[in-house]
Amino acid sequence: MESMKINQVWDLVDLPSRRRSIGNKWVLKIKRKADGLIERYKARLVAKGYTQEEGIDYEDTFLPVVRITSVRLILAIVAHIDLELYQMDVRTAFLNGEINEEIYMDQRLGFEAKGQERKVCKLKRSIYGLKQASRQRNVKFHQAILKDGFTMME
Amino acid sequence: MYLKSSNNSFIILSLYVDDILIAGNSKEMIDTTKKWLSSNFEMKDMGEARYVLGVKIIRDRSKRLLGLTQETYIKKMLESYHMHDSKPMDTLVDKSLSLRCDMCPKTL
Repeated sequence: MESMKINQVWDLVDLPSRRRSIGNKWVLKIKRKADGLIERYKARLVAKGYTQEEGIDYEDTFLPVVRITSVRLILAIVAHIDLELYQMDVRTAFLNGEINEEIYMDQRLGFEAKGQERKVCKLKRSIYGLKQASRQRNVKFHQAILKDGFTMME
Repeated sequence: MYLKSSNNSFIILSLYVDDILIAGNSKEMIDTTKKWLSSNFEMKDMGEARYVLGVKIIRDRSKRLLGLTQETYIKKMLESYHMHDSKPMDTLVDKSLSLRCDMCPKTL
C-alpha cells in the first residue's frame, strides 16, 4: 500500500468510452525466508492480467532472465579466483516499470475513493499481474545499468 | 548478465527477475555499484550471497571452497510428501568414479 503511494502508480480518472477497465484482487501470503522461517505477511494488489486485450492493453511480454548454467559459471569463477560475492534484491520489483499503453483498472477492492467510486485507475506504472509487468521493469533496469557503464553479456 | 570493468577491477552482475547477484574482485567497486543501484531503485542489500535461486551457497575462502546445496528444497519436498521423519541413508558410489564433462545432462 505504502509503496503504491510513494511510486505514484495511478491517477483517478473517468473511464473513456469504448474502453474497459481491468479487474484486480488482493493476494495475501506469508513470505518465508530461504530457510523456511516466516519473514513477514504480505498483501499485494494484482491486476487481472488475463482480462487484458492483446494489441490494446499490451504488446510484448517476454522477460530475459539469467540461465542457471550462467549462474553456475559465475560461481565457478568466484571460487576459482576468490572473488567477492554479494546479493541484492529489488523491492516492490514490478512497481518501478513505466508502461507504454493506456491501461485502466478498477479501484482497489475495499479502498475506493469516497465520492469518486465510479472513477477508474489510469495506470502510470506497471503493477503485478499485468501482462507486461515483469518486462517493463526489466527494460527500465536494463537501460539504467547500461548508463552506469555495464555491458550486457550473452 | 552484465559486466563492467575499469583498470584492474571488474564486476559481474546477474539479474534474475528481482534477484541480483554481484561478483567482483574489488570491494570498493562493488560498494559503489551497490550504492548506485540503491539510489536508482528501491533495493534491499542482502549482504554476502547466501542463496541464489533457492540454492544455498557455502563458502570457505581460506580453502577456496564454494559449494552449492539444495538442502532447503530437499527438506521442503520431503515435508510435502511426509517423508521428513525418514532415516537418511547413504548411497554407495564407486569411489574410483571420476566425473567428467561429458557425463553432464545434455538437455540443460
